[in-house]
Amino acid sequence: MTAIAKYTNIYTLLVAALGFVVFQSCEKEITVDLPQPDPKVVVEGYIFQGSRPYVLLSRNSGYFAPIDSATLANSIIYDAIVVVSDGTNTDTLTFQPANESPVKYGYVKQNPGVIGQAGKTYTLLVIANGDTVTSTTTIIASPPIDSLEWKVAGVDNDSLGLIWIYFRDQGIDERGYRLMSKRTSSIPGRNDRIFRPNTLLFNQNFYGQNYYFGVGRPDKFGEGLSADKYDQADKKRYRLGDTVKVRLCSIDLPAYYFLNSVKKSMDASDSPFGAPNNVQSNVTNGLGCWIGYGVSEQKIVCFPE
Amino acid sequence: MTKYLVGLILLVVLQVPNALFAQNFAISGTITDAKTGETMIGATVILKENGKGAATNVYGFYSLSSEKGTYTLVASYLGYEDYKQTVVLDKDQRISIALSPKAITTKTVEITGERNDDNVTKTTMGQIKLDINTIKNIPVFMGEVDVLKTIQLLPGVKGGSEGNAGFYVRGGGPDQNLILLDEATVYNAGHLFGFFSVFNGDAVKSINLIKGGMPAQYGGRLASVLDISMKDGNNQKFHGDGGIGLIASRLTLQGPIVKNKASFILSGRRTYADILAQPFIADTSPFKGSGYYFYDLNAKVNWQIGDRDRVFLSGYFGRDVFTFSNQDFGFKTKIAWGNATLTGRWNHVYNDKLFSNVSLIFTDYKFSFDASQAEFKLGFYSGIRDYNAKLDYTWVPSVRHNVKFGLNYIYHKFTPNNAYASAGDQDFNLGEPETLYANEGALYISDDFDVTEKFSISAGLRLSGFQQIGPFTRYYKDSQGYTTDSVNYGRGESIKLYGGLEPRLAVKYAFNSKMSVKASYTRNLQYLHLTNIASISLPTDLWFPSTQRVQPQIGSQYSLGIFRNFADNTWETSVEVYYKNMLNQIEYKDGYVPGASLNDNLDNSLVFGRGWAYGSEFFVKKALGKTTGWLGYTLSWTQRKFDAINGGKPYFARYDRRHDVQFIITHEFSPKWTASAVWVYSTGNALTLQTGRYIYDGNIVNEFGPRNDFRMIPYHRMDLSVTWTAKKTEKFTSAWNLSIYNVYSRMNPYFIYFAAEGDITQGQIKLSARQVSLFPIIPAITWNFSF
Repeated sequence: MTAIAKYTNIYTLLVAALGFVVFQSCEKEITVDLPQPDPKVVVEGYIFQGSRPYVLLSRNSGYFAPIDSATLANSIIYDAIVVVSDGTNTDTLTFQPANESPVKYGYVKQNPGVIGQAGKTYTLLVIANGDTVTSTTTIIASPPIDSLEWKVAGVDNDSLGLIWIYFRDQGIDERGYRLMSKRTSSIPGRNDRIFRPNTLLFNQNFYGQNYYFGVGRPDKFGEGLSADKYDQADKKRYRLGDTVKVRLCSIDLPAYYFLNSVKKSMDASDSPFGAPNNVQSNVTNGLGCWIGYGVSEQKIVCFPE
Repeated sequence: MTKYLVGLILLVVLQVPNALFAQNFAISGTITDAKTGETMIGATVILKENGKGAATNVYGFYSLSSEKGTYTLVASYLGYEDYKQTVVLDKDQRISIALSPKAITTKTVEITGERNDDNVTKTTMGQIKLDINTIKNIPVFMGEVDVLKTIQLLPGVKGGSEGNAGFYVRGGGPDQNLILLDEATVYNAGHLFGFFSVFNGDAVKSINLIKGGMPAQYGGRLASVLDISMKDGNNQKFHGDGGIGLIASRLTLQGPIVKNKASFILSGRRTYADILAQPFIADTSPFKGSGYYFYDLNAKVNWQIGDRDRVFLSGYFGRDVFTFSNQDFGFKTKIAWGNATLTGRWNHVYNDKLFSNVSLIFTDYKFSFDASQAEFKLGFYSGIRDYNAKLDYTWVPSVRHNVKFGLNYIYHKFTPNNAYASAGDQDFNLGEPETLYANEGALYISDDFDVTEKFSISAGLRLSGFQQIGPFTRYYKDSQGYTTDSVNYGRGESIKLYGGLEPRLAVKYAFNSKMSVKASYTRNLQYLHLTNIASISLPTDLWFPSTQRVQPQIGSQYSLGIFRNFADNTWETSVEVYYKNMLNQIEYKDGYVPGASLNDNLDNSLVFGRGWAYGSEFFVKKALGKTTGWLGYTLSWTQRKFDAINGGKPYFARYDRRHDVQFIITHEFSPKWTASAVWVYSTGNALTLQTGRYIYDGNIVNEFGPRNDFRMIPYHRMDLSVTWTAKKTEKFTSAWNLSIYNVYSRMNPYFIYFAAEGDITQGQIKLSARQVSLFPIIPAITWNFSF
């Protein structure tokens, strides 16, 4: 399903088509003089159902500003005031190590603290660099996963496959689904530290219906794994014998639109057909997104049925 | 302004009956090519003694009237021998004329007075007629004669991007051009992502481009009309034309069904890159089964029934087909798109002053995408289909008036974006396809009125209306995108009605037969919109009607020009200035991602704004002699303003170009050798670039700067071509055309992108801007033949 998801992006196909028909083209590096963007705070925050909130704050930069370890570290905002509220309880988060996050640090709150609950709306307030940035998100209860099934996918190997997730959209409201997975095998090299996001779905396409979908291993859109570092041999599939936890996460529409437009923006960034596509943030006076995840989870050991 | 113009137009039209009281007699008829029987469009007929004249319409029909007397009637057309006849005008009479092509000689083309001065003497502005033979001599890309690319060589007309057949007229968008093939609307005129146009040069008779001062018989678009007529077919003898080129071959057959009465033409073209490439793709390649081709078919029959009636049936069918496979994933896809048109017409001559045409037209444009992987199948399709009926009259009550009136009705069916999906036996319910229906109608009347010998007015009024009808479901959304309400409309139920008056006015004052000044004002309503998400025109662009949310586009254009011919019309020159205002322009919202339309309407993703454009066009043309060509220069500005885009600040349109230069020269060295050269220059395209970036979820996310704030480097290119007519006899002609595209291999930018190299997890990323150019120097050879 990974491939079909990739290639159903019509623009990807049209780019491929253009490359196919143009027998000769020439490419060269050029110098362009770009203006500096207005400085803004970037929010990367989420609250999972049953977990505490997590927020990472950084600054945007000029397009050609150097990207190295030092500048990346410098772009992180360490001294912001970060407040999360569920309407009843309010917590101030502090910057500290956070092993459950992709970058292992961020604004978190140790116990006691606000815990994500389905049906609740969470407000985020950030004061950083003189800017006040706000956002809200709602955790939507996820429907249960009916079952998981591992099936061989592809023609080159019978030990690699996709995990098929079966569930029923309850037809209650418009929402997005984000599928996440994490390998938990005890075999070295075949387990993951955290859940990584995989596919993004819009329930508009199967509103109130049964649905099933082939989940591949998350590609680089997720934890920042570059293509060359990623385990290319497995071609984004799960290996026979892997133990995998799969999460079906529900998200509200603003979060869905944000994630979808980020993906679109990345798809289009090196395309001749790419329209200038600023992503749809749910953050006021800043960039990024604050996302509440409703969670359903199941585990599977990858063997054919 | 509009009400005064409407008043003026009515005054002119009301003048018409006065002409009835004068004691005039009429001469009418058709003018045809003696060799092929093809009717001739724009041939002139004059009475030598008093200089009164008329030109043939698109069906080759003319009518003129004058006082009782004896006259010398002269019929002429460029490249044909003049026809002269003494006429005793004491009653209305029919005189149909067959003009013979000039014998090929090496001497300079004879120049006769009163000929080829249409640019000065006609009231219309911004109209250019192109002869298909002129187009065939101009250097072409990959050896394929291309009508639309030749259009781009005219001042005021801009091409989209490198090699693209799409065009932009006086600051209007690509959807604002009405492209007609035998009166049928062609919604997507490009093959192969626009590198080639859908018009096969062998099947085309004439091309008329109207970029300003649009007459009242045309409507539904703001910027221009490109009216292309197909050949009728040789009614004298069977005849064939063809060509074998680098990427495509073509064959046209035509001949009489009944000599002098009925004829046919059949023309086809197909690319063969896919067939040639197949042997070189290994069976083990994951991409085996991928390929691309396009083809066109044109067909037409016509029948002359008696002296007063003629019927035509013509059609076009073309498809692009792109297949892509990746066997590693068992993935297959097919993308196909194309137009189909069918036009039935009946010409009737009521009397020597009244001519009518009835047309029934079908137009269909489809885009489909189908993909499968294992048991999964999905796809989507979009398109537009029209059923169109037209009734047009031409009435020539006196030599000073040429009145046109008529009506038009179109039933539109739009399928903007519909999807299906299935997995094995299970079909996913993606909801009812979003289909929109609409009625469009118009009434018009216009008069070309020669008030005095020097002053003339062309005034017209068009009343148009548009009605979106059910079945339809309207979804209302809040600011976050959630559906708040929906309303169902039943079949045929009126959902929204728009309409308005479209006055058209052009005036001319001729100082003499060599020099005139002209001015025009037009107001146009356009009820259709093209939604475009990419930075260039693609077959995925969606046609969309005016709805409750989307109001009709309204355009007003003012233009003023001075026209001067020199050396007995050998040289034509002109300067035109224009200002254009465009309301209710559309764009997608920032961040819009195309997707399924279940529980949503496409127009919920649109934002609305206005545009304006102004500029001046300078044109020098050498129309006669062994060396012909033209030099055009355009200085122009085109801007847009949307509240929801660019922070509400005005920005330049993507195809805004400050300077545009076109230079075309053709020289006939001998009957066997002709050479041509083209040089074009234009300011670089405006585009929006990333100015900032940030990291989200371990990925680089771009921030875009002000809309269209960056300019690519200027575009310029020279093309050359040589045509060698190796053999030319009555029975067989063989000619070779060698063309060189981009002679000095200028690396013109096609697009600019930013590349990120390295590993962000290692904190080592290098960002660079890269420019991609498509076509370096490309020679091409084509063999053309006719028998």
